[in-house]
Amino acid sequence: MNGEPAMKTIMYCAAAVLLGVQAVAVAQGMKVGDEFPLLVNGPGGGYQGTPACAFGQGIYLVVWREGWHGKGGSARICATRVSAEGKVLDAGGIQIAPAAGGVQERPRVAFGAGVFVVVWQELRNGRDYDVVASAISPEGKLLWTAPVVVAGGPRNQVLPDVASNGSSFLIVWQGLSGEETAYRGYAAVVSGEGKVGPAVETGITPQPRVAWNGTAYLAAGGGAGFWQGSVYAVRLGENGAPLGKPVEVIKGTKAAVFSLSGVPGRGWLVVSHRSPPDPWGWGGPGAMRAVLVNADGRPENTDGVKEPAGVKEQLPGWLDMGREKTKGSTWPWGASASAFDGKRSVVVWQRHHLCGEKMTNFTNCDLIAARVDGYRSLDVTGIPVAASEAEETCPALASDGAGGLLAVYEKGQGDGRTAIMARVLRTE
Amino acid sequence: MRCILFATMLLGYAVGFGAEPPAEPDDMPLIIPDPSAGEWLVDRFAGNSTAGPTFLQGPAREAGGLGRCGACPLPDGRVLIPFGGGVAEVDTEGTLRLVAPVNPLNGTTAQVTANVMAYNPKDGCVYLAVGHGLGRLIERNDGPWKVEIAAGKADHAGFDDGALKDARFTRIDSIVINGRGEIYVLDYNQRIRRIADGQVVTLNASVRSAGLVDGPLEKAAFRMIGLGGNLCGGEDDDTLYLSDHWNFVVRRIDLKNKTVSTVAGMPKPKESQPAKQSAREKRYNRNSDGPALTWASFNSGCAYVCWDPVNKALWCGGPDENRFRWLKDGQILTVIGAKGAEKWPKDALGVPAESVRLVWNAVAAVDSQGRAYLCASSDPHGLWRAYRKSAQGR
Repeated sequence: MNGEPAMKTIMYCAAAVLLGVQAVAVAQGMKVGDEFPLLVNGPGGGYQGTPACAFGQGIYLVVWREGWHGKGGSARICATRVSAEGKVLDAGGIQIAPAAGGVQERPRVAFGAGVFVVVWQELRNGRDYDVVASAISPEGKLLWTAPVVVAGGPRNQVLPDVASNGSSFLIVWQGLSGEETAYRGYAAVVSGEGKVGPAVETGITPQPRVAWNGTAYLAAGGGAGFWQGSVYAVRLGENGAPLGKPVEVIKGTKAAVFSLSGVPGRGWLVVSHRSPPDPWGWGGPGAMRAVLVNADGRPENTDGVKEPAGVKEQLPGWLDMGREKTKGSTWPWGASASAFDGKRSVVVWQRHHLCGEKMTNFTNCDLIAARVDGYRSLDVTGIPVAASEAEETCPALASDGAGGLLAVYEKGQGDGRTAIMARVLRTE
Repeated sequence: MRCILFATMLLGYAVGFGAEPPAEPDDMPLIIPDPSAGEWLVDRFAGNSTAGPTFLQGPAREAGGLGRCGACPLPDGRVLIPFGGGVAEVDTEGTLRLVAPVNPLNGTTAQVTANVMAYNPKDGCVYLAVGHGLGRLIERNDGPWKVEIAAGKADHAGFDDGALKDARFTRIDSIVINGRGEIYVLDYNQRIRRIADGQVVTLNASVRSAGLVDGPLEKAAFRMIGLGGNLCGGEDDDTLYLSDHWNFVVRRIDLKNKTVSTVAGMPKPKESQPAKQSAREKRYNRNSDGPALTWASFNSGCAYVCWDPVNKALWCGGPDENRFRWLKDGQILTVIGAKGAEKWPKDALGVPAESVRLVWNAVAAVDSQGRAYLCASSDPHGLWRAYRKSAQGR
């Protein structure tokens, strides 16, 4: 095991050397800064997870779950500001809503109207979740007198996301009401002062995400079934109402998870994995697929929804690929994150090493990055962002819009514990 | 008409109406409903088909992210769910919470998810695979449950027998615990190993793809290489059943007499060309119901077994099943999904069992009331629970 990091470095270098020109891109395209923790010895006892981050007024705000969120837990949403250079400004962390009971999970954050709005799901009564939001200033001050409930009631209201058009915030989530058995997607406008508008149905669920690209909102969602794991997207008005019917932007796969970000002047970028390895031989190839959704809300590249039959080679929109099921092979799968750096998009995704009897199990996940022009990777082999022998997963990304980015992620600490780590990235 | 007549006679025979088994005809239906099939209902138990792959707690039927998971019913009515993100608990109020962040499927083939955790009535603990070792869950009320190693070492693979701390396991695929607290595991889909009295002992000798030989356990041969088989308990503390995957059969292991017998799955036809096969031979490698050793078969091998202590039947099936079948009184019969519909209400309660359609499925566990916990890869969103109308569903 001790030789594994060195072996990985050799593998990445060998790949870069073999690809000649790409080696220059790896060296010059993006600088990856040193890893640093966001909160050491926090109140959560070493259980930190699901980070998110946003940039505004010269600083990044990172939010995450601090503490055990399962039975008997009391996880809270914690935040810290990080300077553009990567200095943690709130070393003790800021508890966004130190409520008395229940657990808080899955925070998301956006900047607009001079404030950061943080939204999360909260199992306040120990039985079902509500969607709750709060705000924090760039100076690190909690702004609202108390968190506001965006969506409550006796059924689950979960998986919120938030984006801002600069003057207000749009929060999306999935929820159940009455005697329904199927989740629906909703949106509501929240002002910088904490006033919540009426909920409107978006048609986007599950796992709704929302992004502002400078002129319009796009919501994306999907991943509900084995055969129906497609990602759909629809443009939303500034009140959250859909401006049409959802369009399939990435074809189905098992357990689709995806990321979404705005691409000013061009649309939005959706990134999602393809197929997992399968011991029966059906799975593959694996890929991390990028699709540029244009201003009309339609995919600009169609390789996300229409692949050549029996595809075996990397398609233009594939940022990464896994095909071989042999010792030393890797496979992209799972969470990703993207942000616009002022010139083009940057994507960070999970790449697993394979193990097991048939080399179809995942072990030791790394995080890989690439600059993306539209939907095409400029760093074809990928640039390692976090590639230690620990599990590095669940990336989040924010950009200052001028080539600087902050990548945050979970890093396994053993015994089920994880820590939130960060690195500053700089693109050329 | 002849087939229907035979099936009717067969059903009559299965429930004890016929004094003599009928003479075998030239053909019979692939699907033969169990006499109890009309009595069964299916509830969504945990998970929701619209929730998505992100793990969500809360009301169990609104939970997300369980994927294909297992089940471990506890005597107090709670049910533990081993899934890719850890171990979750559904309490008696129907609330699902994460209790342990360890992945209990990581050490298994994760293909079947039946019998991946087991409750030990002697020490009140739940056992599961942890890396290469056998772990024991330690319940807590103020944080994640702990897992302590009960045998082997999590980070050391091997097949060494011996004292608990010296023994080594490679990949524990199934865990069975009998009323005496003896633990039996299927290790790396090859070896049946007994853990009792502080010792680990391997019971079978021919462990690789060695054919189909019944008789003394130490000389019995199985064809288990590759994708998973599955081990479960039986009608008493001295009986195990094994889904002998690539022999397409169910094997019964008599621990008291140390013998192995084949109890379900027709033999592989001598004639391999379909055009020359008889109607009976064509049933091989299909989800065929009927007399267990002559007309019944499994599609793509026999992947799981799960004993039902109330109905005194053995749920069993191949990896490519879309019905749930059991072995009872020498017959393999369909209990759930005889008329499976593509658009059945997957998240509802009280669904007539015949309309259920779950593909690539398995019975993950059966509780002390005879309720079967159903999982499937076609709808990787948790569990369903099947029960007879006379039993208490939730």
